[in-house]
Amino acid sequence: MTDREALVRMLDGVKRGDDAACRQMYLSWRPGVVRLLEGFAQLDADEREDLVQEIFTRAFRAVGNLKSPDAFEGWLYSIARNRGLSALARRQTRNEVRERYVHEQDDSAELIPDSVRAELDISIVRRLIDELPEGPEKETVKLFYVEGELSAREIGERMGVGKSAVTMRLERFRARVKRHLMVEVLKRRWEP
Amino acid sequence: MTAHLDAARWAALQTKPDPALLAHLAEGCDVCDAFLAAMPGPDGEVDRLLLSLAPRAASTDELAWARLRRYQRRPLMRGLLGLAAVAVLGIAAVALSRPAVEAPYSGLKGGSHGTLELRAALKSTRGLTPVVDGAAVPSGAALVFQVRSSVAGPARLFLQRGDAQPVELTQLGLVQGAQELENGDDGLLGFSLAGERGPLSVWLVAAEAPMSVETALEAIRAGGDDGVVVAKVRVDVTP
Repeated sequence: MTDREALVRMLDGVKRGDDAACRQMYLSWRPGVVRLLEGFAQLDADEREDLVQEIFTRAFRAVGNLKSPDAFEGWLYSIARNRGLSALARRQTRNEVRERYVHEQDDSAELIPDSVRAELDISIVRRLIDELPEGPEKETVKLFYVEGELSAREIGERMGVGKSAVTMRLERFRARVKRHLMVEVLKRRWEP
Repeated sequence: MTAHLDAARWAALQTKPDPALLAHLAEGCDVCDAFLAAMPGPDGEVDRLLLSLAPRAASTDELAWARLRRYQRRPLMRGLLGLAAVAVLGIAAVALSRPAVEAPYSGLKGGSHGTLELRAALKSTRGLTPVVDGAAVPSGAALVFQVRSSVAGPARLFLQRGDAQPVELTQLGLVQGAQELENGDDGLLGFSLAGERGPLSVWLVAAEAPMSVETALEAIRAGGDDGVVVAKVRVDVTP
């Protein structure tokens, strides 16, 4: 059985409410979801753990809406990011939410056509990291995404900067990757 | 020099190629990056790529799995208890909602229309009692608010005494779905009715993007505006 066939079988099981399939999804993707939430430096460990529960509960319920199994991982991470941003929005009532509002769009992974997704690989991200000028942003991105061990809070402590500075650097780099993907999609749209 | 992205240019780009703008984006631009970061887009795919830089083994945390299963049983219990309470007390919350305000199609997924419901409840030592719109409520009580919103974004809460000009109480962040209005880390947002008399309207104005007080007040007057939705709940404060 290929990885994709195993994924399709697991998703079918989750749609049926099969406990073993739900457990498999949870244990397989929990580390990625936790890692994603560790990028939200404002959230402490207990808050992250609560969110993990919310995220998988929502994913189990909504997996039937997923149109393409190939979009599953991005779809799950969309839910995770949206839950994280929603948690921050509940806390940041006055200033920050006005400036940076939350998009609740769990199907955003499916904005990428399968043909484009198939060609996306981490070499693109590695190149974008390499192109960053040497400095704190590059160091932060490498520590969080490439080494992948420290949380945003821990990186802030190590580098002697506030947690919001770390979040901002990570978000700035994410924005570059997002822009790259969106431009790719648009280019494909207009290609003959 | 190519101008930076804005909502109009981004919407136009979805339907018509703009080589100059695409070239500008391909070069990289912090201003446009910030704009795109706030737009609906392939955020999940971005995270998938970034997280795949340091792949992680599957979790073996069976305890966490057991906690999740326990967590998932809780809403059912809460729902059953809630239904029982409604049946015993015969209380039905009546929501006053504004219909969706349709805005011209912008070409952006999610659109600029939405629905918003605002409910009030009286807070007491016995818990929360839903307030029917227009109901008499005792002075000295406190109101809390529940919202159901299709809009995620900033919101402003206003109080209107009789026919006077609404005054802003606070600003909030809404998420999609049902939620209780909270005041930062301080818990539920409560409004004390102490010292109030007569008819009061509480207005909630929400949008997908930041809006000024003037925009919000105009939306209240107009019953909504492009990209701005409005809901209100009324009470009559009695001594």
